[in-house]
Amino acid sequence: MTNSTSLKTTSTDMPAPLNAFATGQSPDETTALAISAWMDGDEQVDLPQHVFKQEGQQTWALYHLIGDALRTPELVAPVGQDFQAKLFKALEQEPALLAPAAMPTPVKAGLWRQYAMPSFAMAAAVAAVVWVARPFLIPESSTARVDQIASVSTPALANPVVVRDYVAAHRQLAGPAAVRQVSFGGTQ
Amino acid sequence: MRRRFLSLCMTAALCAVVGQAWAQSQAPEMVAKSWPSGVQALVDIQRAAYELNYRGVFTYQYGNSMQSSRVTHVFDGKDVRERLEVLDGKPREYLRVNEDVIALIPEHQTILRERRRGDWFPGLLLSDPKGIETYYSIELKQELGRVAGRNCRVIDILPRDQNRYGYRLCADEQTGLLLRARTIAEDVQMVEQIAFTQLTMNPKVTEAMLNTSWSTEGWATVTPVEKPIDLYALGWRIPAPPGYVATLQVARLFADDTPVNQVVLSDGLATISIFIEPYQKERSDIHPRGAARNGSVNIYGVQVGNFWLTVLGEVPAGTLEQIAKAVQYVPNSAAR
Repeated sequence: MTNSTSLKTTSTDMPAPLNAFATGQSPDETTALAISAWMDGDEQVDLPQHVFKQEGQQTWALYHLIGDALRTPELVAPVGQDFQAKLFKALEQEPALLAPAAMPTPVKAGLWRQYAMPSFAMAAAVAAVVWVARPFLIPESSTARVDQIASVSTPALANPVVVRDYVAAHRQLAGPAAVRQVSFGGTQ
Repeated sequence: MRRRFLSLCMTAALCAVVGQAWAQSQAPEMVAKSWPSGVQALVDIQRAAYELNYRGVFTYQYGNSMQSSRVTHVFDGKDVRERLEVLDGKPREYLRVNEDVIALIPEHQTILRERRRGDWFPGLLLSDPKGIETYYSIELKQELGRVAGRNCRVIDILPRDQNRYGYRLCADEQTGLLLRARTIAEDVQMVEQIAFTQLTMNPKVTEAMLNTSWSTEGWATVTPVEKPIDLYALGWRIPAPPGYVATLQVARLFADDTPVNQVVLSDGLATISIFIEPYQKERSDIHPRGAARNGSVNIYGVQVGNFWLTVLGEVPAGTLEQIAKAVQYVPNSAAR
């Protein structure tokens, strides 16, 4: 489940530790939370000793795999049409990720960061071809796919990637002490 | 004994002379800058970003995200050359010669012409700063901060009303270069910050440091389509909050050629973008409706007639809502 070749499947089927978090019922929750918080650089959390046990090591490896995949999109195997449709369905069911009123507090915050990120990143990978505000000229090739996939789904909820494109378009022309970034093709 | 004393004296004298010369050669660097008060301090920071020579890595942090970039900036008294390399995520590079800026997008083999802006870090100001003190009070603090191993002067820019955030700057004590800028919300939450983590003043810059290492042969060059427009003449009534003026109004195109108008409002420090596009069900329904937030940016989406408005910026959410709800479209008045 947690070896590197399973990346393709982890996208569609949540690996056990993730599911466990979603429901909050895993007996390993505390360990996983602590590992997550420690990886997030939370200074108040010591590296849990369980990390040296088997389950802990699996979680550890999985989290690093997620991190690697997030930081280096090239590592992630390309996903199929089927996946995009499925994910969009899943996204429709999701409550709006867009406007979290406040970050959950202390240790949980670390957890949140770990999991909010992958879904954002995955949504980015998909919605980049679904609908994207591309204020810049884009090579022709992508246009056909936009139409095709757009017909697959019309999510009623604000799409985080759409939002990000507007943010990027805004930042391109304005923003205090702004970084320079280009939303070219809609994904970062 | 006497000879030895003499030679000691000579050594001491020599040391003194050398020491003095050394001190003189260091003098321009060692003497702390005398800081002007108020908005002039910001002008000095802006000038420093332009006229100094520096190379360093700065990090932009907002929400849970962080992005580092390396900047190399050279000013020979006449021309500015600058290279900025984005170090995290997908490779991006920005090359600047005076007002010409190009962005390199390697994975698309594309060179994008960019609009040059004055508020790119370590610059600060988007427009003429003279009105800034009407809406902010600018306080130079006595205590020094320290960023990237250098002492820096803390400058607080406090908003005088609810329509903008505050800023806490730390600018190099000797040269005035902006080392760190933090955006502070009313509840003293840090919204975002950008800061040097490593900096070399007056570095030895080779040509290779200023040129890209990508071979751009055969890359496409793209100039974004941005047509200046007058939204007022088109019938749009956009009541800006006090202090904000429209600094830019352009018509841009989405990838599918759908037009979108963008207005940038600025008070000199804070900026707000308003995107206006035709309402299209399948598209606008995935836009944020009402208040939303993305990292340091607040967003407010609303439908106005047959149009969809997306108002966003690094300003308090209430300000955006106020604008979004007050915008009117009066097509009949377009002819005036």
